[in-house]
Amino acid sequence: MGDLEEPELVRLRQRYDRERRIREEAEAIAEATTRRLYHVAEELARSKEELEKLYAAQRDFIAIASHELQTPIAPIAGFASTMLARWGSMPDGDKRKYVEAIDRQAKRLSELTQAFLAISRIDAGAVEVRPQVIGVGEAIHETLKELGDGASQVGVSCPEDLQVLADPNHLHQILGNYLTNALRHGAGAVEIEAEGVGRWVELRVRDSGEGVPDEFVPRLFEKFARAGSGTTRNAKGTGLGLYIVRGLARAQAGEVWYEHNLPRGSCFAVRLPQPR
Amino acid sequence: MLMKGREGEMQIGALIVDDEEDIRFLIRTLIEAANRELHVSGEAATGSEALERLDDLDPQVIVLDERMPGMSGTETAALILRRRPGQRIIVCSAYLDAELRQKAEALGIKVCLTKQQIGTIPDVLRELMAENAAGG
Repeated sequence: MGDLEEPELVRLRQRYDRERRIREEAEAIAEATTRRLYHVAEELARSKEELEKLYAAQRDFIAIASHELQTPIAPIAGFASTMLARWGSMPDGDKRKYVEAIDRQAKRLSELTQAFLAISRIDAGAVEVRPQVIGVGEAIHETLKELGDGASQVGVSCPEDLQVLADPNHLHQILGNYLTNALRHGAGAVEIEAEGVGRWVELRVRDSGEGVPDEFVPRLFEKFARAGSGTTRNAKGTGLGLYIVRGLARAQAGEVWYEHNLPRGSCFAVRLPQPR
Repeated sequence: MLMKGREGEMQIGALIVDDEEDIRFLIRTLIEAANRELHVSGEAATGSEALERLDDLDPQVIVLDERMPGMSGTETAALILRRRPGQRIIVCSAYLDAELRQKAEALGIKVCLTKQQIGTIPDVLRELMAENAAGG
């Protein structure tokens, strides 16, 4: 280097500096690009995982929904074709039994269809809510009246002037579902309590049946939730009622939850706003 | 249980296992209407009940639902086959997918029907027993 002229040295240093800057810039760009790609890859992996979960949930939903719909269709179709094939030779008693079975299953099919429609509205965030100021005691008594003789022994505890801001049809459906479940699964006394808590009305339906196993409580308000694994089920019903109840409560700015009813049984609760 | 019919022919007994009362009623109706060589040996609403009654009823064929309270149909079938290897079983499920078919095949169950095919049960029972008689 000692042989080089001063200007040549300066040029070489400038060139070296320029190349170093370019190299450093290229390295910085490469590093930033790598970092970005890494984040993109991470996001893609997360999206893939979410899509897989969604796909699995969708697949399970189709499997269970198909099972639920097919179960009433099979006896309807089966008894109808048996009657058509044997009409002339069938005793009247058999005809009646088959028609009764068709009637039972047709009602069940209708309930299921209603439930699926409700779910599609809930999942799409399209639940129609027409809130009104309602007397809670009156709403409870109307629901009990509609449930018939089976609900005549249900104990009611509700302050006389307690009011709630809710859609009357949705409130009726929520209370009807909780009470039907309690009367169906809960042995012994069933009680419904209502109270004002801050700006909320809290309603609780208690029974003294077997209660819900701890491990099942977190899934209680999910779609097709019934104690048991995917292919088994431990209770009658569609397993859609509580999911619908939660959807209806949330659409009205409310919430639902489960409490153990000590010393025995279940307590299903819902919170809805009080009128201001 | 093999029984003798009115004219002396052997009857094929079927155990119906399904938690839906109307489905059991329908399968019973179809079997009883089919002809004299088929009869229903008994019914069970769960896999556990089927296992309890299995030895007493001694059915030639078991018609088994998959989705039931407690044990599933294939879980029940595995226990039945452990106790009675070679027991003829038909899985009859409202939703029959590849996974269920594979589970059934792995247990050696050859016939899986959907509930839409419930009307074919009498014919399938006869075919199964014919295969059995022929050593299939």
